[in-house]
Amino acid sequence: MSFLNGALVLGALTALVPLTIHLFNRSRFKIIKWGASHLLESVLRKNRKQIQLEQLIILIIRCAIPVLLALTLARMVVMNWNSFLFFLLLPLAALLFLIFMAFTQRTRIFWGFLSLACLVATALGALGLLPDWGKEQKLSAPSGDVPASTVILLDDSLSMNAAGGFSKAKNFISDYLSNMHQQSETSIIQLGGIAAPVFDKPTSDPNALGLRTETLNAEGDSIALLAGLDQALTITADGKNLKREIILLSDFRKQDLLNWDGTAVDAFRERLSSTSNSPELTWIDFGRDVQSNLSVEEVVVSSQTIGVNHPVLIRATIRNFSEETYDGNLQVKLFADQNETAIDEAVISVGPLASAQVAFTHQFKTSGPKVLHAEIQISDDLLQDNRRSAAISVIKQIKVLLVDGDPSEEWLCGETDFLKLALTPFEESKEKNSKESVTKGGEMKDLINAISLTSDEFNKINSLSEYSLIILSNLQSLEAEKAKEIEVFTQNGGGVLICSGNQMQIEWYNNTWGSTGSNFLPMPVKGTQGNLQNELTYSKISSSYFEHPALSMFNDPRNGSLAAAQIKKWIVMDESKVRNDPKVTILARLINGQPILAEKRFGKGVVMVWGTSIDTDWTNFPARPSYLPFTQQITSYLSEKVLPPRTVESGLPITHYLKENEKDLEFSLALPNGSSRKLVPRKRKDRYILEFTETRLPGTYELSDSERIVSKFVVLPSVDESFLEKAPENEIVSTATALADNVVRLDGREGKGWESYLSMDSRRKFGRETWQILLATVLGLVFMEIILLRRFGRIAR
Amino acid sequence: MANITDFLDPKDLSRLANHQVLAKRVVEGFCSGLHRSPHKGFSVEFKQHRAYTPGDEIRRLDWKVFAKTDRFYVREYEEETNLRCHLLLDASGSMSYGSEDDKGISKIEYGSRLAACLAYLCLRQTDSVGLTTFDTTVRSMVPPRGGASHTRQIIDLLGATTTGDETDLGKVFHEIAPQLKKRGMVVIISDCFGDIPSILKGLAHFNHAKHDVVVFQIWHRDELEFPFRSWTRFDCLENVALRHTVDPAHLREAYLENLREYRADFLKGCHRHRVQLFPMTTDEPYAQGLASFLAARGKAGMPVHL
Repeated sequence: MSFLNGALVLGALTALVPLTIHLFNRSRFKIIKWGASHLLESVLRKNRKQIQLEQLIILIIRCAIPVLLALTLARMVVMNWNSFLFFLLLPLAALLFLIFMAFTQRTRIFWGFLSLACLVATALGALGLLPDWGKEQKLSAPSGDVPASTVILLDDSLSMNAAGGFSKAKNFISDYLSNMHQQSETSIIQLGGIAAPVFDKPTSDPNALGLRTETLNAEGDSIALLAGLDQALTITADGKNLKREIILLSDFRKQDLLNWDGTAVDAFRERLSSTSNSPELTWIDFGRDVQSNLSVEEVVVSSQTIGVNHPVLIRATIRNFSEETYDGNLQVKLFADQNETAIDEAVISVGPLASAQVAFTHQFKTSGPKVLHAEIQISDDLLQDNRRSAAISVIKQIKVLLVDGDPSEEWLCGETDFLKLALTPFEESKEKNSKESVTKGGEMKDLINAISLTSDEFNKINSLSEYSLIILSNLQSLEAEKAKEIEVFTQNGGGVLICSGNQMQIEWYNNTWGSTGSNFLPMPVKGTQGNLQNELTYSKISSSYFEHPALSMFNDPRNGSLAAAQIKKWIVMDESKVRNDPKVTILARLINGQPILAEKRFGKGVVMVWGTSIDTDWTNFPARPSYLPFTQQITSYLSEKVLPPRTVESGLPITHYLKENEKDLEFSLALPNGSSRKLVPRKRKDRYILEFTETRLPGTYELSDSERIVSKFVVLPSVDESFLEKAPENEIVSTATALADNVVRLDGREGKGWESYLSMDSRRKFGRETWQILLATVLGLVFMEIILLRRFGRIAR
Repeated sequence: MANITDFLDPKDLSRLANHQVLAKRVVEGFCSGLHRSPHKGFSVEFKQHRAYTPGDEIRRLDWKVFAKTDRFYVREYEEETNLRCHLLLDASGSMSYGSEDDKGISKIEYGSRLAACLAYLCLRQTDSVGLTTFDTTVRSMVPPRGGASHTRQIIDLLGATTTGDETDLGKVFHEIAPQLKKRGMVVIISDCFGDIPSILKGLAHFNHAKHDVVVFQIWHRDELEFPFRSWTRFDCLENVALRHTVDPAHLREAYLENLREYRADFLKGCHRHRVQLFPMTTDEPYAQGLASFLAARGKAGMPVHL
């Protein structure tokens, strides 16, 4: 015996009300001095016991009505005949016999005895002293006729598309919804990626749910089965119906059952068993063994940010999951944005269970956010993984001013020569190898347009506003007027990189830009350290985790390591004064702990100090492979072009940085399924960002303000979804038994999922809700009270 | 001293002005009045002619008839006699019911007024009236007498009457009956609660003595309808030890059935003993009840005139 609304059982306490009224009446009576006692006396003398019995019966009925009503509202559930008998039938029978006793004269004792026997049986049954008759027999009702609280866990991962599994699952759902009982409540939880319910709450409206289910597509990432089961259990535990069920519709692939967290399984099992009236688990398999599948496993672009007319290298990895060999007949096409005409195509070969790579290059003619897709042209069992995308941002050039404090006529001897080479490789190669450049990179343009000036030339130029970044490399000092101009340039949003070197007048820097001056430098410079003569006394950049976005690409070892460079001499920056200054950030340190790269936000712009030379005077860093990405990244960052990744795995958040003047604009994000969401800018660490976390749906997300598309993001499905291998039967069984004792497994692969579910469900038995019976009993008792009150006046005289 | 207006309301009396208390049966009286007398004698109401027999008074011969027929006839007249009215007022405990009632009056008050009214009516038509109050025994008695001043005595006794203890009507009636020497009218004002056979035996005693017996049975509305709803403790007015705490709604049916049966039995017994039973309830004006009683009695008996 249990209750669906347990708290309402307390309503049974209202039975005290008629009892109190009865006792109250008995204690507060009217006194009447009565003359016609001889008329009353005889009535009383003959009927005293009868009257007491009748009053007892009326009192019992009056007390029973609120109790039964409370049980009705609490929706008492009886699991078997045993409790039904002891807690409902026998007490009612006792009452009935008591009423018989009141109405009969001769057989009074007999009825009294029966009533007493019923009460004793109830008491003994409650104490468990009687044999559990009927305990094994579950009370049940025909399954389709009972209202149920059901949660359908729908595997909408990409792999469900294989062999029509998802459409069969949707058919099952529509069959289920069309046969749903009127009072049933159903939830559907999509399992792909992150478990998410279709509607926030269970609904009794099969049409709304059906319409919504029709529009669902299997586009999700690998299923979050445990999280989904957990959510489903929470929903069913609050279900208003007795029949509770969790139906899992999945293809049960090997990948789904990998990486199974044992403690989470145990926790779920424990939760399930501790839940009263726990739901039944039904698993329906829609996954067929499939023969052939190919997928685009990876699309890598050479750079996230690319200039207009700048060639971008796209590398696509194609994986063959089938035993078939494709010998030069697998066509791979490249698409840009939503344009359905291929911009490039290639034909490749790929062996059985092998992978192959194909490379494309493409030049964008216009700037703006772009998406590239690589697609294999083949009809295999899972079409949805034949295309993979990458987001890319095409920009015009960044204008950078390099101020050389130690110029030289000789190539690579000037202070900014290495830097210019790294920032504008194409232009430099065109100049130096002019013959080659005509044939190879004639049309290519560098992302960065770097202009190198000597300090004298720099002092002469009038306006800095056309540049987004000024790099002062090994500059001795500046005219006071120019120094002021640079400060204003930074305050207005420009970036300044100060690189150290032997020409630097440290005193001037400290006086003009230090704490005694305009406080432009991130921290004061105390002097230099290191020895250029001794080859063995060098320091290195500490290879810790870089939190700063400008250096975060070096967290991936494939992009090279900053620690490889030897730094023989460097300036010592005194960080003790600025430890608590939130504007100052140390990006990188040497292995001895001294800062080597520090930045300071100054006005709207940023000033950064590189503690050693940017050429080979003090370090061999320009000769290291990481030099180019380092300078490119720093340059991009300081020109405010460093952006968070635009191509993310599903489930990870997508982020967009906003400029100061954009923080009040309205932004909307178009989702791959056609819907759109409003995004509200929020502040994180002095920067306004837009963030969207519900990226369970793979595809292209377009962020736009009121006028144009600001940015495009690509959310990629997990590559696991392309592994269509089915989990072995014993593995599914062991998973099921680990989760719960009685998981019913059905086969829906042939499209007969609904039929087999129906035949299984009709055999299943549930406890029985008693509210109808109780309500009828309450009504019966009310009528009986009315009748008895009329009958009981007619007593013997 | 009781005030006459406590018992006699001029308004009520004016209603009864046209009614006389008429003894339905022939009663003995000692002065001629409105009532038929069993003694034929000197009067104005001619009854018959009878042949003269020696010993008849010569003055009663009808000379006119002798002149016509040459035979002696004696004129006989119906002698009209004075009514002796005995009022018996029950002053037992049960008659005090209704005294706690705010609206109405108690049964004893009602009975007293009724008695006063009857006494007044009788005395006005120069009949003689006596009053006896009783519970288990006779408590006090005013012998029947005529004259307007007798009203005062009756009223005084009524004023001094309070309710007492138990009743035993049968016993009291047996006690009273021999004291009523001459035939007359016996008016019993009582609720007649008690053992019916015993009461009937008492009434039979009066009947046997050739009295004209009228019983005014005084009821209170509560006793007839038993309108109580909430839990009530019924304290017996006549026996302090008798107390019952009951839910009256539960008992009502049985009580009313009991009452109906009791009344039917009593009525039957009264008919058998030629006792006129006239039930009255305290909430209806006694003058009205009395008027209808007198009117009915007038129709059944002698013509009504002053």
